[in-house]
Amino acid sequence: MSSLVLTPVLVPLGTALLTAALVGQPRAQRLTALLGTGALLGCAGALLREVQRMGPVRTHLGAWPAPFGIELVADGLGAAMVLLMAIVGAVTLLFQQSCADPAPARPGLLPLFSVLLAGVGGTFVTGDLFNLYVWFEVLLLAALGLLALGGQVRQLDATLKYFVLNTLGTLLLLVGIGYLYAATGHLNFGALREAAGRGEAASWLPFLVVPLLAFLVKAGAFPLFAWLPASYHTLPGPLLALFAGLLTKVGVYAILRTLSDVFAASPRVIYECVGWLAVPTMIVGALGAAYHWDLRRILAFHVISQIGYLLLGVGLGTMAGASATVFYLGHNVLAKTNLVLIAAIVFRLGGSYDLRRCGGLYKARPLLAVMFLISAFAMVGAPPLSGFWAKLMLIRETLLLERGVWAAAALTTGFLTLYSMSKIWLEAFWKERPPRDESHGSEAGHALERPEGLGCAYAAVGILAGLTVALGLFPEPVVSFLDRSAGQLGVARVHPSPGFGGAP
Amino acid sequence: MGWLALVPLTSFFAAFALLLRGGPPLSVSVPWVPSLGVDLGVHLDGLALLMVLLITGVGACVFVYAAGYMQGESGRRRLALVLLLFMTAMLGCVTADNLLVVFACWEITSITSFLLVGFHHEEESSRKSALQALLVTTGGGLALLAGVVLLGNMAGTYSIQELLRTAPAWREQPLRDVALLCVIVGAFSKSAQLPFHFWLPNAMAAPTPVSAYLHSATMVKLGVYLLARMDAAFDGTPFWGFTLMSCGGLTSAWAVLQTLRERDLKRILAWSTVSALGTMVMLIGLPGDDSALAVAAFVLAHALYKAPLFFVAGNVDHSTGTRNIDHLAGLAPRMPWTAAAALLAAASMSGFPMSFGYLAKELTNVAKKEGGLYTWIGHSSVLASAITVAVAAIAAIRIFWHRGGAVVPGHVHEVGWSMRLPPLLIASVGILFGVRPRLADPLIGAAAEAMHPLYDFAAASATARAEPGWTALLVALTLGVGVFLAWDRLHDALGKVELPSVLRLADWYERLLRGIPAAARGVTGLLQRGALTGYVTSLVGFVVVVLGAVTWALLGQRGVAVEVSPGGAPWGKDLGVLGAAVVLSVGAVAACLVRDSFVLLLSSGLVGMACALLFLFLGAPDLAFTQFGVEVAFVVVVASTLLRLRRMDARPSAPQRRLPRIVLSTSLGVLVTALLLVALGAPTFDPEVAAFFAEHSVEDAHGRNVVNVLLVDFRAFDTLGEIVVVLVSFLATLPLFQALRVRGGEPS
Amino acid sequence: MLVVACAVGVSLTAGVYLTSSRDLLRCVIGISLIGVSANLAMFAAGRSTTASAPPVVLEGARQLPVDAANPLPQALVLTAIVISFALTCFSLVLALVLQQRTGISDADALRRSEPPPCPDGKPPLEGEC
Repeated sequence: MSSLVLTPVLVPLGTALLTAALVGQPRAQRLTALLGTGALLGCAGALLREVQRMGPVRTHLGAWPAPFGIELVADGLGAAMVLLMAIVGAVTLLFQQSCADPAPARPGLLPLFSVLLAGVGGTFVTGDLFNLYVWFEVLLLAALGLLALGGQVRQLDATLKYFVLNTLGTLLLLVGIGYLYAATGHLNFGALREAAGRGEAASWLPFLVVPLLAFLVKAGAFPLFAWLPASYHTLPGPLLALFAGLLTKVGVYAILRTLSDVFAASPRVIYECVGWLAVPTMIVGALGAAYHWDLRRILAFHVISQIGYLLLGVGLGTMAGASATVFYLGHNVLAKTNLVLIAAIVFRLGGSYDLRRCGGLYKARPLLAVMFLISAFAMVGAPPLSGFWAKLMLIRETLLLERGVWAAAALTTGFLTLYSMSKIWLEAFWKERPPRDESHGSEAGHALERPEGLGCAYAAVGILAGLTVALGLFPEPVVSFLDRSAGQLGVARVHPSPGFGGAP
Repeated sequence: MGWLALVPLTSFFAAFALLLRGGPPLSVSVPWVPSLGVDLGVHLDGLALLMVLLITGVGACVFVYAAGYMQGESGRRRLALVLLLFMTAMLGCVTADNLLVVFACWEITSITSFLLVGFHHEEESSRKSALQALLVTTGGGLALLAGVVLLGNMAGTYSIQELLRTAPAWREQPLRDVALLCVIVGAFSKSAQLPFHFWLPNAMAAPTPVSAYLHSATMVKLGVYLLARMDAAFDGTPFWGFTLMSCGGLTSAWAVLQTLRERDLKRILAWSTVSALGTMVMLIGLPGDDSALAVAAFVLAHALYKAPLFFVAGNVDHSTGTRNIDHLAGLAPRMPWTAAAALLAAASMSGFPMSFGYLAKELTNVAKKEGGLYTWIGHSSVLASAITVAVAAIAAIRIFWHRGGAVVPGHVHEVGWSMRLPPLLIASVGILFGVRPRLADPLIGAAAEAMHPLYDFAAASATARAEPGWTALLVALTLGVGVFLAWDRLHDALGKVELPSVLRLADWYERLLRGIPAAARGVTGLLQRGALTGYVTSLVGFVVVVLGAVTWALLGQRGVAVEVSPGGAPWGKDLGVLGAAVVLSVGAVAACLVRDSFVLLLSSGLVGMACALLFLFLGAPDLAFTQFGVEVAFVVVVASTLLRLRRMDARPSAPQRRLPRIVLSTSLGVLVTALLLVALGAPTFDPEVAAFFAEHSVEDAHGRNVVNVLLVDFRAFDTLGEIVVVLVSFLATLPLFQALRVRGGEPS
Repeated sequence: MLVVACAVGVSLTAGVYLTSSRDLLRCVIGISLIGVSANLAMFAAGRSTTASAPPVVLEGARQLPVDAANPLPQALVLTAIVISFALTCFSLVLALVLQQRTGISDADALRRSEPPPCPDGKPPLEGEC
C-alpha cells in the first residue's frame, strides 16, 4: 500500500477543496472538515502500521525512478510525525466547535486549516529537498492566512512580522538548496545521503549550514525566534494550539531529517553548534515565559524553550539522541497543544488570558484543574507522565556523552518550566478570583456561572490528557518503535550510540 | 473519610506478616520500559518494611485523625484523595528496586506535597509556602535525576540491589563524586538539610494531619531513606562520609537553635524535625556498622514521637484556635487525653529511660563512639539533644501544666475521639518499645541488615544495653531542663540577634524567586523589543556571522575551487548578460536611494525585468516570460492599489541610521555571492540527473520543452504545491483586500 | 558565472537594505528583491550560466542539444517565481491595510501585537498602559 504515503498531502488537500467549495453552507463545510481530519487520522494510523510491519513506505511519483522524479518516503520518523499531525489537527478542529475562544468562522478558515495540514504533511513525507521547500511555502501562506483571518490590527501587525521573518527564512532555504544542488547535482534525499557519504563531500558539506539556518528560523531557535513571540499570542485558542503544537516542530523535523538522517556525515562541529545553540534557546525561552503574565505569551515562549530541548537532542548527534528527540517531540506536541487548549477554556471561563485577571478555577472547575496538572507536569517532566520519559532519554544520552553543561542547562530549564507552570497554577487555579473589572469585562466574564458549549472543548482536552497519561504509563511500545526507527536513519550508521552501561 | 484508614491498615498488617515471616527479602519484578532499563519491581527487605510500616501505620492514624480534624471543611474529599495518592507514591518509593521508579515516586510525593501544603490556597502565605516546598524539593529532584542517570550510566543498571552488588566494579569511575553529589543534593532537599532546610518550617501552612504525616513521619524521611539505601555502596568513600556528617551535624545544630526563635508550636516542632533529620543524615555518614542500627532505631523513634506531637499541636490548635505558645498554658485539665499523649511522646523525645527514644539515643551514642567522631560534632550533638529535651518539655509541660501569665481561653474543650486516639496510640507504641525493646528488635535489626548486609544485627537492643551512656543522658536532661526554664529569655536574646541576610538561606530563595522575573525582564526586553527592524537585523546579523564563519572555514581548506571564469566564453559574447546585470544593479541601487514610493516600485520592477532579461540571455525563455509577466502584474497591482489609496507620496522614511544597514546588507550580499561561487566550483557536481531529463523527455514523457515536461510530469508534485500556494494566497489575501476596498471607498 | 553571482549579490544587498528599513512598503519590497536574488541563485546553481540554447528538444531530435541549458533549475525557479509573486501580493496588501487602518507606516512604531511594557517594567495588561 505505497499509495498510503500520499494521503498526508492529498487527504487534507481534498478536504480543503471541498470546504472551499462549500463556503456558502457553514454546517456542511464544518462537517466536511471534521470528516476530512477523521479520514486523515485513519490514514495516518494505517500508514504507521504499514511502516511498522514493512519498514519505510515509498512511492515514486509518475513512476520516475528515485533520484530523478520526486520520491515520497514515510519511514518510522515520518509516519510518527504524520500521526502526530493528524491527532493535533483533529483535536484542534474538535475544539474549534466549542465556544472557548474559537477562531472566527470566516469562509476561508477551514480551507486554510486543511491546507496548513497538507503543507505540514507534505514536509513530513517528501523525499526531495526542493519539494520540501514548496511545502514550507504552502504552510507559510496558510499560516499567514490564518493569522490575518481575524482582521484585527494587532493580528495584522503580527502577520507582518511573521511574514517578514519567515520569508527571510524560506528564501534562505531556497538559496541553500541552490548551493547544495550546485555542489552535488542532486535534490533527492537518498542521492544526497550517498553523496554526503563519499570522501570528497567535505568540500561541500559546509553548505548545509545555509538550509540549516533556514530550518532554525522555522523552528524558532535562538537568536532567530523573534517572529514567534511576536505573533502567536494574537491567534485564537484552537489555532494557537495548532501553531504551537505543529509549526515549529516542522522546522525541528527538517533539522532532524537533515542532520540525523540525510547529512549524518556532516562535520561534528555542526552538531556541536546546534547543541550550543540549544542551550540559550532553552533558557531564553523559559525566561521569556517567566516574564509574561498573558497565558498565550507564556505558552508561546515555552514553545521556544522546548525547541531548545529538541535541538539539544539533535545536537547530540547520535542514534539514541535522535530517538530521544522524536519521543520528546511527540510528548511535547501533545502536552503543549493541550496546555494551549486549556488556556482557551480558562479564557472562556474567566474572561481573560491575563493571569492577573484569572483565579478561583481549582474550586470551580476541578476537572479542568486535573487536566491542567496533567499537561503542566508532563511539560515539566514529572513522572509518570510522557514528559518524564522524554526528559530521561534526553538527559541520559547527554550524560552518557559527558555533556555536563548541556545536561545542567536542560535541568535548569526544567526548573524554570516548573516555575512558570506553577505560576499559572497559583494564579489561575488557586488564587481567589479577583473582582471583575467592569471597564474591561468581556462577554465571557459570566461563564463561570453558566458554562455552555464547552463539551467539545473538554472532549478535546480530555483526549490529549489521556494520550499524555497513556504515553507516560505505557511508553515501551513507542520507545522501542522509535529506537527501531532511529536505526533506519543515517545517523545509525555514522554514530551509533555508546550502549547503555557499556553494553553494545 | 475515616474508613479510608482501612486501606493503609491492610497493607500495614501485610507488611507486619511479612516481617514476622523473616527469611530472605521478597523480590518481584516485571518489566515496564525494558528499552530504558526500567522494571516495576519491589524489593522488600528490612529497611523497606520499616518504612512501609511507618507509612501505613502512621497513615492509618492520619486518616482517622483527619476525619475528625477536617470535619465540615470543604475540600476534605480532595485532601483525602491526594493523601491517598501520596501514600501510594510513598509506598512505591520505599519498596521499588529500580532507581528510576524510586525517582518517579519521589517526584509524585513532591507534587502531592505541594497540593497538600497549599490546601488553604486562598491565603497567599499558604500558596507561597506550597510553592517554596515544590520548587525546593523538585529542584533537588532534578539533581537527583541527574545523579540517578549518572549512576545508571556508570553501573549499567538502575536496579538498586544490582548497583550495590556491583559497586566495587564501577565505583572508581571519575564521575562518581559528581553522581554522589547529585544524589546527596536531591536527598538533602527532600529531607530539609542545609542549605535546603528552610522549606520545612514554612510548609507548616499545611493542615496538621498533613504536617504530621508528610513533614514529620514519612516524606521528609525519604532523603534519609535513599541515603541509607546507598550507604552500603559508598560507606568509606571520604566524600560521602564527610559530606553527610558535616552537613547533617551542622543542620542538626542549626535547626535546633532555630526552635528557640519560634513561638508557633508547629514551627517549633518543624525545626526540631529538621534537627532530627540532620542527626539521621549524620549517622548515615558515620563509618562502621552500628550506625546502621542507630539510623533504623532513630527513624522509628522519631516517627513514634513526632507524629503524636504534631497531632497534639493540631488538637490544641483545634480547640483553642491558636498555636502560639505565649497564649497557651495549663490546658491539661481541659484536655486530659491530649495531655497524656503529649507526655508520652515527649518522654520518648527527650530520651527518658523506658521509652524507645532512650534506646535510640543509646544506639546513637554507641555509633558515635564506634565512628570516632570529630569532636565538634560530638559537642554540637549534646547541644542538640539538650534543646530537643527542652522542645519536648515545651510541647508537653508548658502547654498543659505550666501556669504562667499566659491566657487560657475559656471555651477550650477536649477534642473528639478520632483526634484523641491516634496520638495516644502512636505515642504508646513508642513507650511499649521502650519497655520491651525486644519487640522492636526484628524491626530495626532487619532494617539495619538491609543497610549493611554483611553485618549480623540479631540482638539489636542488646547492643544498646551493653554500654549504657548515663552521663550523656544526664547532661542532656539537665541542660534541657535549663533551656526549658530559660526558654523565654533565650528567645528574647536570640530575637535580638539579627542574622545577616547573606547567611539566611530563605532570603536566598527569595532572591532567586525575585531574580527569575528580573532576569526574565532583562533578557526578554533585550531580545523581544517589539520592533521589526530589530528582529530583521538580529536575524540577518546572525546569518552573516554564521556564513562568515563557514566562508572562513572554507577559505582555510586547501584546494577549494572557486568558479570565477565566465565558463570559458570570452566576456564579449555575453554582452547581453552583462548589460542585464548592470541594469539590475542600477535598479537595485535606485530602489535603495529613492524617496518617492512610486519610483521605488518602478525601480524594484526594473530589477525584476533585468532578472527576466538575464534568464532570457542565459537560455531560459520560459523563465524570462514568466518573470516578465509577474513583474508587469506586480506593477499593475501595486499601482492600482496605491492609486486607490491616493497615498502616492509616501513620506520620507523615518530617520534611521544607514551605516549599520549598509554594512549588514553588503556583508550578506558578499558572503552569499562568495559561497555561490565556491558551490559552483565544487568538483562534486553530478550531472546525471540533468542528463536523465535530457534523454527521457521526448522518449518517455512525450514533450519537447523539457522545462514544461519537468513541471507537468517529472516534478508535477512541485507544481501541485505551487498551485496550492497560489490558491491559498488568494484565500489569504481576499479578506484583506475586501477590508482595503471597503475602507478605501469610505469618504474620509 | 561571475556576472550572475554578482547580480545575486547586488540584488540581495539591496533587498536586505530595504527590508531593514522602518518603512513598511520598503520592507515588503525588500523581501521581493531578496526573492529575485534567491531565484537567480537557484538558477545559477544549474551551472549553465553561459549556455544560451533553451532546453528544448529540436524537431526530429530525441535528446537535448549538447549546449542546452540545464532544465531542472529552470523548472524549480519557475515554481519559485510564482510562489514569491503570491507572497509579494499578499504582503503588499497586508502592508497597505495596516498603513490604512493605523495611519502608521513606520514598522517600529507599529506595536500593536507587542505593546510596550508598563512603566514599572511589567508586561502590559490588555487595554492598559
